[in-house]
Amino acid sequence: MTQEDKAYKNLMDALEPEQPSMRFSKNVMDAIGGMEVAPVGKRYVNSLVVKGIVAMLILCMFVSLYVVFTNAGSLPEYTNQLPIRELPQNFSLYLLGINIVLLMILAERWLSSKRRIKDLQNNA
Amino acid sequence: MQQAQDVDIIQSVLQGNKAAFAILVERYQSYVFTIVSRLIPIREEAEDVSQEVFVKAYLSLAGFKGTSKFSTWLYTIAHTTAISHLRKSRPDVVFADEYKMAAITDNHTTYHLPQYNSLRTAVNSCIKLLPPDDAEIITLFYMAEQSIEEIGVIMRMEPNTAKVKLHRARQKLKDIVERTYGKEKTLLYRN
Repeated sequence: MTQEDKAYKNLMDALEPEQPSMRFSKNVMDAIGGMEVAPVGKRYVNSLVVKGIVAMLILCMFVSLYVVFTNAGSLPEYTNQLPIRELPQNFSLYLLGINIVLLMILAERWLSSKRRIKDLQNNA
Repeated sequence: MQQAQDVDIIQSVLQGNKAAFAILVERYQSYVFTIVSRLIPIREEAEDVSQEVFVKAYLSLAGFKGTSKFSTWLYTIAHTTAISHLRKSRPDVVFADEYKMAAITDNHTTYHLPQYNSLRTAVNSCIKLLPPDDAEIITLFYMAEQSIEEIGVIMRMEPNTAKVKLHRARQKLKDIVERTYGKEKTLLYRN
């Protein structure tokens, strides 16, 4: 063992964990007194996150509608082309990919909720 | 052995023996408190957050799959709870310790640190002068006995990054201790 290693060993051996107050354990047990272990299937999602996602979706909808209505008069005639000149190559493929992923997430949520309902019925 | 005991206790808690959870609290409270204290230096605040860690752990105990050590799972909760507490309570926090550290390690400054009588006192005081994440990584590796891979999981970083960070952190700690020791620096190299 080199002198450097010895120094590190001496240093780290001297480290001691800090101690919380004497009542710490009791406080924790008091805090969980009225609680129960959450079932595995239950997913914890902060309501703020859900509200944030909903707000974003609504905002996107309004922005899209605003853009469509403000540009409606300026469109020369009906066309099936998007009024964007330079789309990245394989743009539609990316969109398709995103849709497939979203569809899979939706399917997973649907299946897991079905399973949860089944579990609840079995436990009842 | 310890791992099997933890799993047995968890099983017992899940079967309704709530009192068994106190054994886990007793076993890990000092490590959880130390990890949290590295990030939140105010003692009362750190104690509240540590308490919150155990409450969270209890509530999500059924979600512990046993694929990792219970301690790794618990320290991950401790790390994320402390970080989110900091974000909530001090959103504009700047780790001033980085500057303090720079002042200490800079050879040209005359930064005065107290002289300590024992290595134990010096190390445990000097670790508080390190940037919080450096102090945390040293705590996890040398005190909480977590591997580099486990530290990567807890602190959400690649194992290689954790390894480099640990190496630098212990170098910084040694530098600070050597400076605080002054003439008695040779104590560090005793057998």
